[in-house]
Amino acid sequence: MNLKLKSKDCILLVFSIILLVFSVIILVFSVIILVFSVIKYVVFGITISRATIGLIIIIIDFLCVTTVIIYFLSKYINRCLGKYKFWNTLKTYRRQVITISILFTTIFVILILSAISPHPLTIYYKYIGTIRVPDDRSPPSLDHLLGTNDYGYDQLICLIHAMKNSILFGFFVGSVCVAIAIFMGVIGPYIGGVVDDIFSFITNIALAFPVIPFILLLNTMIKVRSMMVVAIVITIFNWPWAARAIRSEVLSLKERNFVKLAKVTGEGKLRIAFFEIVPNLFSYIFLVFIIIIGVAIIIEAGIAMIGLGQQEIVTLGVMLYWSQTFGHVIRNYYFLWLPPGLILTIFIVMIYLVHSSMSQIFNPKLREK
Amino acid sequence: MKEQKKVLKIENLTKIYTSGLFQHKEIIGAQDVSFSINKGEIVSLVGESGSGKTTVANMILRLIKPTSGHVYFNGADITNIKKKDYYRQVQVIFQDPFSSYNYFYKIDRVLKKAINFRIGSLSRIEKNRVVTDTLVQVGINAEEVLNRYPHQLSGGQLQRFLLARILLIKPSLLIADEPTSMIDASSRADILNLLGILRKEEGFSVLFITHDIGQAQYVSDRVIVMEKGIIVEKGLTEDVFLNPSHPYTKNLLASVPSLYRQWDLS
Amino acid sequence: MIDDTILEVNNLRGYYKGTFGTVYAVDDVSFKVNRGEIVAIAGESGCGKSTLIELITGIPRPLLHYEEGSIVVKGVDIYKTDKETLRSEVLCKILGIVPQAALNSLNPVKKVKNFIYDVMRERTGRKPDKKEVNRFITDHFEAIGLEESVLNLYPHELSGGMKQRTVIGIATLWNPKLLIVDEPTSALDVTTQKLVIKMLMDLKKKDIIGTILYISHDLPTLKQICSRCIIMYAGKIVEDGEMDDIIKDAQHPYTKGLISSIASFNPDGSPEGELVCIPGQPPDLRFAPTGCRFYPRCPERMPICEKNYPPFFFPKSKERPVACWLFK
Repeated sequence: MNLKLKSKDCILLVFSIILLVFSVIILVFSVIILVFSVIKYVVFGITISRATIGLIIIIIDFLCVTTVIIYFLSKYINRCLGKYKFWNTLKTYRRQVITISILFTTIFVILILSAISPHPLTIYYKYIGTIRVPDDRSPPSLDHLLGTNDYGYDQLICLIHAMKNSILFGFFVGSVCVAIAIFMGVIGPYIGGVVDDIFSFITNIALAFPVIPFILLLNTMIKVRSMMVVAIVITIFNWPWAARAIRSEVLSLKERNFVKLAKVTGEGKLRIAFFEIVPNLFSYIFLVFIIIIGVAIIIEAGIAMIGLGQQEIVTLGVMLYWSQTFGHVIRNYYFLWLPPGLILTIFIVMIYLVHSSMSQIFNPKLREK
Repeated sequence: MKEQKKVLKIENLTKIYTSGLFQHKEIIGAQDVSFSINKGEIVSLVGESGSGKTTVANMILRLIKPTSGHVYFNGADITNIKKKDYYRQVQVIFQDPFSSYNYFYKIDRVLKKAINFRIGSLSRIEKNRVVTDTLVQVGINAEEVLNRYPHQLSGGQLQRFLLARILLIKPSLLIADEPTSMIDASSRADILNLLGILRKEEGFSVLFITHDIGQAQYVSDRVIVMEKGIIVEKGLTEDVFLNPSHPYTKNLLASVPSLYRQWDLS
Repeated sequence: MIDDTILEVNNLRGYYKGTFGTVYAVDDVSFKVNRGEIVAIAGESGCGKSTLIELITGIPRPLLHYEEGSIVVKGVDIYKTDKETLRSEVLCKILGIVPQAALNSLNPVKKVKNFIYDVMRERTGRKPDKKEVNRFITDHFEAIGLEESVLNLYPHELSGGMKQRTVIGIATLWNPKLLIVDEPTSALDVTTQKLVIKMLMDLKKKDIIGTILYISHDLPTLKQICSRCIIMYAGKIVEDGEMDDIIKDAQHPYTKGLISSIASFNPDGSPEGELVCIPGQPPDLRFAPTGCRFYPRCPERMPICEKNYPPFFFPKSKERPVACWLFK
């Protein structure tokens, strides 16, 4: 395989770079808006709504996570390639660049759109004669680009907020799961002995626990239906498999000579665990993080769709739940049942693409021939 | 006869691995190993794979706990010495140069850790000077090698870099666990010659573990031959290699291919 | 007329091509092997010996590409025959290859004899009759000197030396004319090494194999069994001649450096003189140098060595070719 690009690859590469640049511009623009809101609050005492505060925190958090990820990825890629220059890197790894830039630009665009659109749960009214009734199930028009749903909410705004909520939910669950998995997977085997036995015992029990019966039972016992409960439940069931895989990696890394050399240079056990062993796990942790985001989004959608989830925040699962309870498919309201499912599928496919293309870099056995 | 100072003395060192919960299966790693190393000596520990040489080395390095037996360093039992002080006196070079470095970091990190481990703090300029001097001593060109990642260098350079690390720590005993088996033949000679120079200039004692009889003959003063965890023969190099007394040693020496003689394969 | 040349390689080139660029692994290699010889191909890691063998098999694995040149084995041009004939006729009956670390290729969940059934079925293309095959294999293993009991064992029950000898036995099932062994003893103990080499000598004595091509980096081992030696460096042949002559009186500067850097056991006492190491490393074969590949490390280099690659010269008083401008 030589480095000559075909024309469609060139177009894709240019397109994704344009998207990246475009979204960075929008991001800068919206950060300016948010900064102004903060200044308005501080200087003029005008309060900003809770939602905007939440959004500011979330966007800054997201930026930090993305920067960290891009930094480590670029360091890792540079290390794998040694003397190669940046543009050469982009050209050779165009598949990875494209998938990652598509995923991140989509997330940026969704976040920005949700910041500038009104609240999703606002009811729109119409007049039948002189009586004001909620404008339910009206087909797509210029006012409501995707129509309105059973409660009178605008479908497009609901969809945008649903995407944002699902993504953020995925990120939250992903980061907590990865943190727990790293802790259980690194500390246990590194200390060894009884501690290792206890930790792997806990991991195996959590792994073997049946998920759906647990959720059914939980729903009968707990009266509160909130996002936190769903998040906690999904976190509990997703960290074990990552912890197991990390544990086996750590066990093999422990025997390598650089760990023994670090011991012989007088370093303490915890220092060795976090400075020698964990950096070698970064590639695996990144992949685990990406997968858990996808898994969390889909499980949440599944739980919400059968009605075991929550209703206070609109997510893709909640929209699918509405489609199912109100029978949109049978009544042929295509603009109500098609968008959430389609967006969910597309999102999962994007996550899978990122995972499969990045694992080509990180797993040397899969490198393309 | 002046009594030479014994740097390392091992008495009846044994390591038995047991496995299985109900039926105890015992695997002998090393049994009743006793020898000593004097100051400024290079002693070779020779044996085939499975003879227990690495087990003995790991026990001396306190990476494994012996089942029974004692190790005395400069007269003191090593279990009474604090690990950090012990490691300032006893260091190691491993067989595989590529896995001795953490691929995530640059190789300078190894030297930085070594300098920080030594007693006494130096200023940054002093540290750089010491590092450059040490690299010249082992024969590495500093500009070519510093600021690089491990996968960009060859096996021979990486091993010499590890020797530079040893020079920075200045231990009195160096345990070299097959340092040349993963290096090309044409670069091996340098490592072996360096060990001899280090012994002369710095007064190190070296425990050279190998399965290659030719290298053991070239570099060592005394030889210890091990088979399946037991010492079968020990003595001065010329005595053991020219007039072996144990049948295992005789068989071993007869099976070694040499540039100086031809086997009779009829 | 009996054709004495078993293997003839002419101007062979084989390159690795991938996202890293092109690695000129084997560049313009030519040599001949006659019937009845035991020839050694010696060289350090990265000089191209295993690549050479992969090219000789005719089916180089991806990333390695055959560029040009001809390989003729007993009249059969490897790169002009189709792959099917190569697999079923040439590679088992004329050419026997034991690649590096072949002792790991035994299927761990099958007994050795079942593994050999699979091999025979693959090569001959039809299901062999078990009783007949059993007799065939037992006779062959007995002729080689391996016990019959080996056939009924699983690979993990055999020691390293036994596995290597079994693999050599499998490669010689159809009595090939040329046996190529790639580093058969590097993973074995010293005492088992001698057994494997003895087995190869026996094979030649009993006329089961006519010619052996032995590849290794360990010159003392090569000296024990081989009569002729080809030294390779950075993808090219630098010296080609009689084994004892090369060791006592090496001509090419690389060979001289190699011999003087080997710490070999001397049963008569410690060798005099210090071992001398060759400074530097072998060249990076991604950038094919134009002149002699040993130029940066050669103690006797001349300006002409940097520009042109030396062809084979015959130094006075020797009948063997050496690729060095010193002997023009």
